[in-house]
Amino acid sequence: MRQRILIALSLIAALLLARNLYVILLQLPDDKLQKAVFRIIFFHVPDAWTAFLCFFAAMVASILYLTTKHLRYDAFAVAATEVGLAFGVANLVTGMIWGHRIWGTAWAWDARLTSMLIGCLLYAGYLMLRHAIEDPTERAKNSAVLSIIAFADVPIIFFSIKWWRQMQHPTPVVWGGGSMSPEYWRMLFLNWIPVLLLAAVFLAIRMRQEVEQRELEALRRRAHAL
Amino acid sequence: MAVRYLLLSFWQVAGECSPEAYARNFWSLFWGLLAAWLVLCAYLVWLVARQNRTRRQLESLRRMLEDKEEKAQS
Amino acid sequence: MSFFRQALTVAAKDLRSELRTKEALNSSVAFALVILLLFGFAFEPTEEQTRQIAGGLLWLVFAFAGALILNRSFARELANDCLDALVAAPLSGAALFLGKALANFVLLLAVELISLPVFGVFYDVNWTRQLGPLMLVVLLATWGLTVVGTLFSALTVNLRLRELMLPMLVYPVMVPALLAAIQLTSPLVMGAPLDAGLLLWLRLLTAFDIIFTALTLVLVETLLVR
Repeated sequence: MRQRILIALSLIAALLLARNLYVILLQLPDDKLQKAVFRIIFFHVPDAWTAFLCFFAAMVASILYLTTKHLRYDAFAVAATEVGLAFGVANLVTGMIWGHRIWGTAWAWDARLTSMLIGCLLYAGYLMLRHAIEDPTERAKNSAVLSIIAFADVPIIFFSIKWWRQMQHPTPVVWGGGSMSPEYWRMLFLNWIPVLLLAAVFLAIRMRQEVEQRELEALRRRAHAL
Repeated sequence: MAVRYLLLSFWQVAGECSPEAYARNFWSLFWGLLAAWLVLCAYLVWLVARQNRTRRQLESLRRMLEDKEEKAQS
Repeated sequence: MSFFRQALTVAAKDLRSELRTKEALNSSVAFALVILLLFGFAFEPTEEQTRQIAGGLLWLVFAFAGALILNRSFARELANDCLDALVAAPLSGAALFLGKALANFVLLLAVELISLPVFGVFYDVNWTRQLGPLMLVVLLATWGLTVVGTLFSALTVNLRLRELMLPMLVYPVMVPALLAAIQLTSPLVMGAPLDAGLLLWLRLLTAFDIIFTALTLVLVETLLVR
């Protein structure tokens, strides 16, 4: 049953993506200055939104774990963080390739990309912390605290980097939000849906894996005891 | 039918190795989208590989435990 | 015993224990001086360059040297099950945490106050011209670093790779505070007064301190309970 839901969601995502790609590549007009490469925004931005949504969900799951102590929430938190990290890296990579074309350099310390990089480092640290702790309850508790602190820091990081760039070297932002035509905005949101669906599928797979991994560890301990 | 149309149009767009395509920054778009999807596919592949590994280990552990328990009982 | 008396007792205990051996203090000060020296070789700053890099240099030195002190904070209690004894004591987790944070704050401040004159000598800078505002920035940023670092010290206390994981986790979280401190320290150390444009960073630093002091005090209780 669960398998079928996941396959159905993936198919819907694939169909939506195919339809969106057709519109993005063939129907929408080129941007005046940036020509075709501007279309990368339809994946660059939804990846960022998905990543932040995943990190937020991880924080909520962490709070729920600390209040209820159900390990199910811990599994959700680690799954959400990993999936968020994957989409965050995708956002960084598209941003760097896009920037390389537009600015001539792969990394121009753009405020948004720099904030995303620091966020990814934060959550990579979360995953490394989890690897370093063996006891499941201890691991869940410690990583829950880290997840809450990390997400509380995310908006502060975003604003501080933004102010830093505004004061130091105001680099031309690749897209100045609000100066896009409505059909572009509509496509942006429309393309967010398949990306979110994919994230949900990844999350479900990863969460099931975490549960199985815990079962595995429990069996190992029993085997050692025998 | 729709799939063939989509493939054809994508091929048509991708087949533009002309200088106009370069001036349109088309190749950067291509590499950018490819890179993003590669990252996500790599993650999916890693997830699936990990899943298979975990399942195999679970199976072998379960069998080993059953054997041990049978021996302990007999 | 009231909350603050408990915290002060813990702080006094930690400081007394540290001052007896001066392990962390000595290694931290030595490390800070070595980095200052190395940066002198690496960059050979002229007057103009010193003006630009002063803030960044100082706060990098303080952050790296601080990691040594913060690591010792909870690690010191591992021997002879002292940590378990402290957690079992009729002492709230928050009071224990606050006490340790206060002790770390004093130690880190000592390291910084020793490093500043050395910086002045190596880089030929008269840093006392804006002493009041400079001390305010140093106090605020050091408290931010201390409070976050002490929490992560509690988080990583049981890990094998504690010395590696603590800096790795703390520095991304500290980015906004370090950024603000650097932006404020560069002009202040070179004698320029705080102008209106820089007040934004002061507000950011204060907000960071308030948010993370509150957050860590709330979270540390769950962390220390077994």
